[in-house]
Amino acid sequence: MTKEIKRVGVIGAGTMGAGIAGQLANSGVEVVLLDLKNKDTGRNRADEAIERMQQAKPTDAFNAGLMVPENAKNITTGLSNEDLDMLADCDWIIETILAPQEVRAGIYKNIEKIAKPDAIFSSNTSTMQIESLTGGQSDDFKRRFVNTHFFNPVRFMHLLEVISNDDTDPEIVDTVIKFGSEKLGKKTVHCKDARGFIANRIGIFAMERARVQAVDMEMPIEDVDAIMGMAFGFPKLGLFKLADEVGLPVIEHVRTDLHANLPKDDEFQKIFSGTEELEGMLKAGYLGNRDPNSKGGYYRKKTDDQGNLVKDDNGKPLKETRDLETGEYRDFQESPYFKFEKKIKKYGGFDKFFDSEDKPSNFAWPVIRDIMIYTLDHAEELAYDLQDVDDAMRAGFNWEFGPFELLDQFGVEWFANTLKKEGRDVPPLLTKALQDGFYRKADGQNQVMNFDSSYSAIKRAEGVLSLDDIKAASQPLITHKSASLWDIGDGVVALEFHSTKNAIDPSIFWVINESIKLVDDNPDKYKGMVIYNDEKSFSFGANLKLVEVFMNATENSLLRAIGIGQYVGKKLPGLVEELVFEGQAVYNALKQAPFPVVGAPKGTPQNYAFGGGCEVLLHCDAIQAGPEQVIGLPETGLGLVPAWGGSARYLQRALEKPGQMKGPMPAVIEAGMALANPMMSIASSSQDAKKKLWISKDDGISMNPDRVLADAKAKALEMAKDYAPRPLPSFNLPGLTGKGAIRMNVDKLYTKGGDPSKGGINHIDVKVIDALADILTGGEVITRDDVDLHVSDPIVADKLKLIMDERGEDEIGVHPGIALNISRILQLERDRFLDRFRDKATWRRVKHTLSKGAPLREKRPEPAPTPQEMRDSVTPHSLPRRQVSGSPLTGDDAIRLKAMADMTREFYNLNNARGAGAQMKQMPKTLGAIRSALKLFDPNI
Amino acid sequence: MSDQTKDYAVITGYARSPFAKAAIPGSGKAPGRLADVDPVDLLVPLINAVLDRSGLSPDKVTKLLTGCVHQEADQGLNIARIAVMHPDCKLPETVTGTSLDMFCASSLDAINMGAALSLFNKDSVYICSGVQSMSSVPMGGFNPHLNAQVHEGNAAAFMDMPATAENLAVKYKIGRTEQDEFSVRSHQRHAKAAESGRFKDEIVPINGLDHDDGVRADSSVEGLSKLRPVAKDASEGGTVTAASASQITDGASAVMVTSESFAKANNMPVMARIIAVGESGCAPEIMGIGPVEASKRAFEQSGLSMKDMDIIELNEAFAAQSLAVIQEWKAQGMEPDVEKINVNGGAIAMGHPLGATGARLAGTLALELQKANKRYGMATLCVGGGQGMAMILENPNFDI
Repeated sequence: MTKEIKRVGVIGAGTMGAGIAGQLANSGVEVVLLDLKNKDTGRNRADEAIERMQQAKPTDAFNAGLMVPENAKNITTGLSNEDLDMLADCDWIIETILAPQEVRAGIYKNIEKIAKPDAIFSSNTSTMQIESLTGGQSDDFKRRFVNTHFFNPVRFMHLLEVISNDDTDPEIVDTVIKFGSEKLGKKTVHCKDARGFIANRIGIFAMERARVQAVDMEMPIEDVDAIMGMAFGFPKLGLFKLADEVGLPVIEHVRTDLHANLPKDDEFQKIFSGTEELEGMLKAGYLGNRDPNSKGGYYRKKTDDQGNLVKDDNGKPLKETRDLETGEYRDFQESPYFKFEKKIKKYGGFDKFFDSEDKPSNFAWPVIRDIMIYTLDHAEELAYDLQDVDDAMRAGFNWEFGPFELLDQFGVEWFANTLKKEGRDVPPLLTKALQDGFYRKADGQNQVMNFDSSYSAIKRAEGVLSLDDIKAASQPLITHKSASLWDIGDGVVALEFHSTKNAIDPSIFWVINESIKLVDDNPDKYKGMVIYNDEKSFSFGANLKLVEVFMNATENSLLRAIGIGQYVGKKLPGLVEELVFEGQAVYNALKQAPFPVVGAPKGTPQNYAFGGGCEVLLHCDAIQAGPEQVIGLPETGLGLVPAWGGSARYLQRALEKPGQMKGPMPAVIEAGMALANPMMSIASSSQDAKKKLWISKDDGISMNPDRVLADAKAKALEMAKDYAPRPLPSFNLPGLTGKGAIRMNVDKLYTKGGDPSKGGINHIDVKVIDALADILTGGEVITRDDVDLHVSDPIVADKLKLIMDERGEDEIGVHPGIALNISRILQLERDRFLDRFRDKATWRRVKHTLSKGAPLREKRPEPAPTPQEMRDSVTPHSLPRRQVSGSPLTGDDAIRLKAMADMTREFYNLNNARGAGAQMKQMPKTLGAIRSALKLFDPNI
Repeated sequence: MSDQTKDYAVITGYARSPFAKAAIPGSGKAPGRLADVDPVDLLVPLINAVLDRSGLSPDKVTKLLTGCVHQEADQGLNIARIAVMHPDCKLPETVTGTSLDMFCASSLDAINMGAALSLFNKDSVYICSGVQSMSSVPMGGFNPHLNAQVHEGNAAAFMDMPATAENLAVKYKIGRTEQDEFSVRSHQRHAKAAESGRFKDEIVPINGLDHDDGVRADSSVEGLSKLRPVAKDASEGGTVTAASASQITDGASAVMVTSESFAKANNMPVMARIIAVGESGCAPEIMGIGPVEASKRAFEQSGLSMKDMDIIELNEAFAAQSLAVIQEWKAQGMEPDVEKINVNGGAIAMGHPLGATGARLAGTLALELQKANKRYGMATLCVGGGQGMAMILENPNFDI
């Protein structure tokens, strides 16, 4: 039995209190946030904290505690010294203050008097055991008290440690764990009541140990950060940069607390390097990067004597680094071990790296060794099982792998042997894992070792469905290089992308196409589909690398000399047209399939669904997203237009938006503004995505990414009960006069100058937006040949032909009285995409994006061309007319799709081949696959 | 010079709503105080007020003329007729309604037409009004369409207004500071006039609001210098900012127009004689210069000249535009006394609800001539798309 929590009180609006209140508000519960008046401003700190969260930029993770600013409406504020009675009807009251224990004890006494008799109490202290918090309180208070330890920033950090002791009512613990997991979206780990709990105890030990080693070896900070980063799955920032980000006062607080309270013989005491250095830094104003008044941390910005920033030739501020020995700052120097996660691969395994005895190895080995030993020795003291330890380190310190997963990667046996060689004791827990490691696959399960050396299936929170577990227990129904289809039970299949960055490619299209056929052909077996994956990002969109290879081939002088460059150049437009058509066809087949398709982007922080990845979601019948999905269509920045149905479906969403203004233009303008300005329209969270129309009002958001798959499956089953696909949309669009109105606006933006951050556009943008405008306004004219293909209503089509007959003309202007069908809009997408693709300016933007990570922003030529001159410079394509039927591809279309998919696979195989020999061996296969695919394209494009 | 033997059209009453900053969706700014008031509800109290102020029986009114730009949504369906049909409106249903659109000159043109018709139709009376809820219908309307040939052949025809002001700033070498000084002066003059109670005789309070809410008495050149140009980035030489442009505002205005003979026969208070109207088109990319040619034509018709003008209401579409007009007047030998222009501030301080501004200019000019005991005045404004209009009024009660 668990209690319902509808209203939560938070005492203290500091970093943690405000962050907790923010996440509670994000989840939709009512929040009461109390703090004192700010002596400087005379305002309630709680109000100031909410304002800060509302105004923070979405990229400012430590301050952007609210998913959308509107969530602040769920928070009511009051003064903690006057308004405690506001907590009277709260189901849960969380104390987050930094104060001496006697102050805290007084507050506890006061809130117990006010609170409901069944209210839950908790504290967010980061290290203290329960007894030291609740000493002197009533038995009833102790029964209702747990420790709930959130991590900063609360919205984005996945971990919530829940700590109870023998006094605590188990129902209270269950309630907090369930609420934390389901509503707050946290990985809730139930910890034993030990000092520092799990994450801080191991994480702070790890930091301390690495620091000591750095001082011993006189290792520059840059080197430490380079080595102790992603190479071992630690956060990319490395150790010291991360410390600066977290804030040095917090770190100093936890490490001194551990030092003061852990037993004398704890290994932490042996490596503790004293408080002198960090306290000195804090006193001197070096607080890290969290505090706006801080001078910096282990790194700082370089300033001249007047305190002005010193910048390099590109205008980038220069940095300085602290010398751990002297405490002086010197110029920042890029480490020779920069991007060590790539360099470490050259050793051929962790064991070989650790054995190699070079400088990075000599640094990393003792550090990692001692972290592992400390974890092995203390795991049972801190956690109820060892999976919890790994979960806590991943969710609380953003380690990619928990310590036990790392040990499995190092090799448990090798690790034990190396300890023996060094004359060290082998921790008993390690010995237990010698046979099978800490994790294993057995009996069709992913299993984890228990402290008693037995194994059990990896535990999942109630209601969590793991694709990993399904994959361990079954074979895919369909698979190709970049995607697979899995049976996830109860008649639901899951389509998983697994290309690099989940880039969309023909291999994925082929799997989608086959999957639709499979489900459609087996209605008694399968009822619905979800599209889901566990990767860092749902999908980055079309695989531009694939396209770039062909671009380069056409431009390569050697290949041109032997004629291959010209051949590829001639074939390239056909290949691109095919690629665009295939995406449109399979995405629309998803949309029109006779079963429900639920798009399920996991929505972990910094999880992207861009371009083609966003477009697949726009073609799902419903979406069930995790909390933090970043989603949008950035194509125009690359000089392109969304052409896998993205322009058409976003326009449809704008047209169908509740309360949309009447007339043909408002939706066109709304869609145009969004697609022409990705910087404004890309959603920073799933709630933001609802505001920006990427996700519909009725779509679901799971606060916990781990629950997305189960929630999406449930949604698919619910929809399957009486499912019929929505009829194909039709569009009443303004035609040329509407495009004229958009052009008028483009002219206005062009006058502003070329900088999009200041609301301007440049001369290349003029062409891109004009292509987009053509799609969104329905094109200028319908030709006699297109009338039957592009007009929704055959009676209207006949009337249009009659008018053309009367006028003796073969085309008629598009106007709002003509309902155009989806094939029309998709045809315009393909035509305009090809216009843009054949513009070398687009190639320059694409290549710049691939090499520099951001699209090229061209300088306006002098004298500046007029917008009309830029529009006149485009020669529009009119590609062969092809109908998108909403059915999976069959016949010749399907043959071409398979050839493209196989070509993609062989291309990846060549790309992944290591060494000249392997590449030479793969080359003929790849060239053969390219040749078989290219010869199938329309030669006339 | 007015001809004492002639029957002139006259203004016999004037009222306006408070001008309130409009709600701009998506701007993140606070919603305007009149944003929720339907434009018809802005207009009706003014119609009733001019009827009361003239003392005329409502059934004597012939027609309601309403200037309004973007006649769609809340402003659609012939808003003039809708206003007549409003249950609170004192006009009987026999009064007709005509809505007209000449962009910013709409309600000045309503007076122009009312004046002509009152001399053409015997015993006819017109309420010439204007209304604009810029909160309800955005600039350009909800469904902007544009003839492609016009756009391709003459893109400037529908050029963004601030960009036309930038063009004037370049052409007449008007710097940023000069514009900001002009803007600050507008705020200061309006604030001073408001404090003295000058607007009590024109404003009909709506929903408890009894003053123009866009005025910032503490506006300073230093403060304004921090703003970013709106049409053209500063790095591209842009100088026109939101502060040196007229504000986006909700508001309405109305005057009553009839012949002087009818007014006298019916004991109506005559506020001003309409002596002449001049109008002219100009190049759309410098539409702001429109008042120059328009005023020239008004002077030619009336036989008066700039030096006869005691008060000038020059609509402040933009500071750069107003300053350009003043420069060009001087260049053409029409030496205006700058101190006589916009003595109570203008649209930069109080806002420019497009359809309502024309009647506001004429009405407040008529009132100011009375209060200051001056004889002649001119109301003039520029019009998007490249036009200008000017109207010369005479105070019949002027007393030497």
